[in-house]
Amino acid sequence: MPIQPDKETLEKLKTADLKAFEAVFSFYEKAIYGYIFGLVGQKEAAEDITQETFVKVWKSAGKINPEQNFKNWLYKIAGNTARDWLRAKGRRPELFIIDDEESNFETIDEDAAYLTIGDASDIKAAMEKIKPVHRACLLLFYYEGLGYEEIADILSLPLNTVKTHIRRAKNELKEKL
Amino acid sequence: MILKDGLQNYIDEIYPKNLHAKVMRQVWFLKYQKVFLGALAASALYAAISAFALYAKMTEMEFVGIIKTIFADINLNFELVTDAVGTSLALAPAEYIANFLASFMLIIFSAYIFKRYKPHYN
Repeated sequence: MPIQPDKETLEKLKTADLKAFEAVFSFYEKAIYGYIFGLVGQKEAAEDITQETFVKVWKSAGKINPEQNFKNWLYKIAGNTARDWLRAKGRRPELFIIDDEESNFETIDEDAAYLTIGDASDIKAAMEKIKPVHRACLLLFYYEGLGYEEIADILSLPLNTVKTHIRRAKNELKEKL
Repeated sequence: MILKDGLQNYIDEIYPKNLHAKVMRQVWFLKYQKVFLGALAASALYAAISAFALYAKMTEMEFVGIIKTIFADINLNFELVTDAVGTSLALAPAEYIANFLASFMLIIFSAYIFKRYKPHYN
C-alpha cells in the first residue's frame, strides 16, 4: 500500500530522485487516472494524459514547494493537461461551463458517502453512465476526500458551481444505482 | 459497500495494469536521456570515422596527409590527433570492419532505447 509522500520525499523529488518520484507516482497514479478519466471519458486518452501529467511533474519537479499543497498542484496539472487535450480534439471542456449560479443554498449530506451500493460492478456501470464532469467531481469529493474550496481551486470554478456539480453527480449516481 | 469503497474498486478496475511501468520507464529515460544522446552521437561519429578510415585504407588514400592539410589550413596544430589517426590506420581492414560494426550495433542499441523509452502516446 503506497504511503502519502512527506516533505522529505518532495524535497528529494526536487533533486530528480527516481525513488522519490516513484513514491509520489505510486500514491497518486490511480486517483489521477480516475480524475482524468472522469474529465475526458475515454480510457486510452486518460492513459495518455496521465502519462503526460506525470512527465510534466518530473520535468517541473524543481519548482515543487514542499510547504505548499502538492496535491492541489498535481491535480491542476492533470486538469490543465486534460483541458488541452479536449481543446486539441475540438471538444468543449465541460468544466468551463458555469451554470446554476443560483443554487448556492445546496449543501452536501455527508452521509451520502455511505450510500449503499450492491456490488463493485454496480458502481462501475453507474459511473460510466454519468456525465464526465460529474464523475470527476464525485471522485475528488468522495474518493480523494477534498473539500469544496480545494475542488473549486483545482477546477478553477466558483464554489457554488462545484457544489452544484457534486449535488447533481450524487443524484445522477443514485438514479443509475 | 459504501460509496468510497465502491469508488476505490471502480478505480482499481479501470486503472490500466501496464501504466505504472510505462510511466516509470519514460521518467527513467528522461533522467538519463543526455547520456543516451551522448552515446548515440559518439557511436555515430566513431562509425563514420571507421567507415572513412576503411575506405581510405581500401583505396590507399593519403588519409593522414589529408587530415594534416585540413588542420594546416585552419592554422591549428593537431599533430597529436593526426598521429592517433595514423596509428589507427595501421589497423587491418578486418579491424576497421569490426570497429564499424561495433559502432553500428551501439547506434542500433541507442535507437532501440530511444524508441522503447521515449514518451509516446496512444
